[in-house]
Amino acid sequence: MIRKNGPQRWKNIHVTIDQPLEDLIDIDNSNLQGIKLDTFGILNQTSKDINDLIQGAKSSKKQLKAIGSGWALSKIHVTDHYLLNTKLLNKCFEIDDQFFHQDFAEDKRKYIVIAQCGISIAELNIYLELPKVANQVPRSLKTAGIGAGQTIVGAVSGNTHGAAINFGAIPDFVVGIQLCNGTDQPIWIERSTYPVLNQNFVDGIQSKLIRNDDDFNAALISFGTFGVITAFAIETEPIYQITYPTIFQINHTKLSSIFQDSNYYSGLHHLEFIFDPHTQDGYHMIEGTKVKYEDGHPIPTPVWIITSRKGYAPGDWTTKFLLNLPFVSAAYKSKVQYKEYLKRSVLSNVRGTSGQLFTATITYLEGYNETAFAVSIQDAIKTIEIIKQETKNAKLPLVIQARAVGPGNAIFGFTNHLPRSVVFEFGIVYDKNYPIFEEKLISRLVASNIKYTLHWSKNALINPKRMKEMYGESNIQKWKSSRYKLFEHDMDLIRVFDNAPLILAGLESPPIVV
Amino acid sequence: MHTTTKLILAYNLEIKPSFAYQSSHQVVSKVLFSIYLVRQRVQINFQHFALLLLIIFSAQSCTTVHVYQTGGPGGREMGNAPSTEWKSDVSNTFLYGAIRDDVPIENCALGDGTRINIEEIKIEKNIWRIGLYIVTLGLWDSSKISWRCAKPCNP
Ligand SMILES: Cc1cc2nc3c(=O)[nH]c(=O)nc-3n(C[C@H](O)[C@H](O)[C@H](O)COP(=O)(O)OP(=O)(O)OC[C@H]3O[C@@H](n4cnc5c(N)ncnc54)[C@H](O)[C@@H]3O)c2cc1C
Repeated sequence: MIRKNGPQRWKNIHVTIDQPLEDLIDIDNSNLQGIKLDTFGILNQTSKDINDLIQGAKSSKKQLKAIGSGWALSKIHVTDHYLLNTKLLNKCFEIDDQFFHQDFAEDKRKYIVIAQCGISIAELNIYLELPKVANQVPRSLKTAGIGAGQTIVGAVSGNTHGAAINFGAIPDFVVGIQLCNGTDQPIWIERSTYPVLNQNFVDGIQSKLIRNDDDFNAALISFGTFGVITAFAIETEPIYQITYPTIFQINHTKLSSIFQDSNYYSGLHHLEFIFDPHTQDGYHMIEGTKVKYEDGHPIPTPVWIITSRKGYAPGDWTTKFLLNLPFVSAAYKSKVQYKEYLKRSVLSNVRGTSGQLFTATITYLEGYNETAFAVSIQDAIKTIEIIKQETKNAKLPLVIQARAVGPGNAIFGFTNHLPRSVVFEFGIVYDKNYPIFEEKLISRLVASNIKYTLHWSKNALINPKRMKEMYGESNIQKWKSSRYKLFEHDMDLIRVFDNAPLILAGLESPPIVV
Repeated sequence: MHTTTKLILAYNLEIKPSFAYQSSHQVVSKVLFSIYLVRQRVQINFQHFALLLLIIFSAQSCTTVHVYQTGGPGGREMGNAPSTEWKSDVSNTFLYGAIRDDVPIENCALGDGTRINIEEIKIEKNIWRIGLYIVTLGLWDSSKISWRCAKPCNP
């Protein structure tokens, strides 16, 4: 059912956005008749409600945007008009054998689930790892970011990644997309090269089927601009654990040799390193290996939790305040931050499932931004040198976290560099220095001929020139063509899903027809 | 004006009013940390140091407390995973609690009326509310209460 909450101000979690809305709309799985619906019933009720909302927005010439948990730090989830809260759509469903495509291997079927858009990663972990049905095998997500509070569609749409060096990012385990975009029926999209569900399933969810690699790869990372994604089919795997030895420190030379040696990382599940850019040398390595699930290991203590056992935590604005403290050098602040980071935010000497290890949820760091960009692992060393120089020049207090990710297929996947991406990420005070620093870094990368891509949900500085540098003209055209095609070239509908960042990136305009 | 003072003032002028949502223990920890950092790194005379502390206090004397659930099955932390966005109301208590002003929460329910839980609550006092409390000798105690609802149960 739909509930309209009326005009109000809306803030994202880190309050990098605080703005008015014309309406905040909640949607949930209940119905007035109080009937318990089956899988198809729930999915059909949702898609009908959403399609009606989209039609309403179209006729009143308003924009509509779906939000998940509001964790994105950039404005990709922003509109001044209607914001649709999807977090109450949090169901997960198994699929009967009769609904699988004949080519989809039988032994893989029990690892496919349908996740409604608003289910959080934490809820999914519990659903998969701790099944409540007797004959259901425990399963794991193939990868996760550090946090578990994002919704599945929000995480995919913003290209959330972890450090799965030999897999990819969260979008890379999606195998089916249900999209509501205001056209006559919802759309079920799969890759033509990887059919999973059959026409009976598509009929059951009253959708039209599109099997096309380009459309799938475009819709996957589309930050709410293709319509509202109501559900995904995701591919999971048998439950596993990841084991992390005690973190260890290496020098620049050793790090450089690791990046050149694919044998070093071919057996790893997780490769991450952190460093203080104000120090000359020294990198802490966080390496995880996938192992068979075994009962009896101690439950990992959550990391990335800044609240003490007694509830003491830095206030909402403390980080910003401390990092702006006058008279204290940036190098010293970085040193203090780095020490704290090592204490609280690294997986060291621990073994657990994905759901037990990647649990960051409690974070009120208002006024604190995170920014991230990716380069090829082959350019990582040069990039580190640039980051160090620029951080020192800008006198910024930073800790850099870097995670390696395997390439995926989404057209706008920012983690698709070959042979692997290294995503550099840092928390930074959200003030006027942030764009200046980011601008400087990007210009240094360009000047050094380093191909870079910016994280969709963390970086605001995406413009048409950058889009071209990052993805190339032909990918941009491919993405736009799919967007226009899926909207059946209905300009009024397309405008419903335009928003400021899309226009800033030059992605709202029609594709060039060759 | 002495350069240090100018620096402090310039810095303070940049602080926005909303900067200051802190709980008292957070303010104290912040100040202690500032003292620690400043004393370690800077040669600063006593008046300027006192001025710095005064400015920090005046800019920070507002409070926020978050109340939320934590934990989850088998170490799968579910903390702070609400299903709705923030909703707020102001609660005014008069005459030391003789007249209270409750905050009934009506939106933590699905469209069909099924109730869902409250996931988190935030209690804020800004500088004006604290001022009001002091000026009225506690007769008027005003807070902003915000909340978000929990997720519906998954099968
Ligand atoms: C504490 C914290 C930890 C984080 N850790 C990581 C990390 O480890 N790795 C990483 O890469 N990122 C990380 N992030 C960033 C975060 O994962 C991304 O911002 C993610 O996109 C947020 O998902 P969300 O559910 O909050 O979606 P939102 O932020 O609400 O939305 C993100 C995008 O998804 C779209 N969207 C949401 N739902 C739908 C829908 N149903 N249909 C269509 N579009 C939709 C929105 O319109 C928007 O464009 C972190 C952020 C925080 C605050």
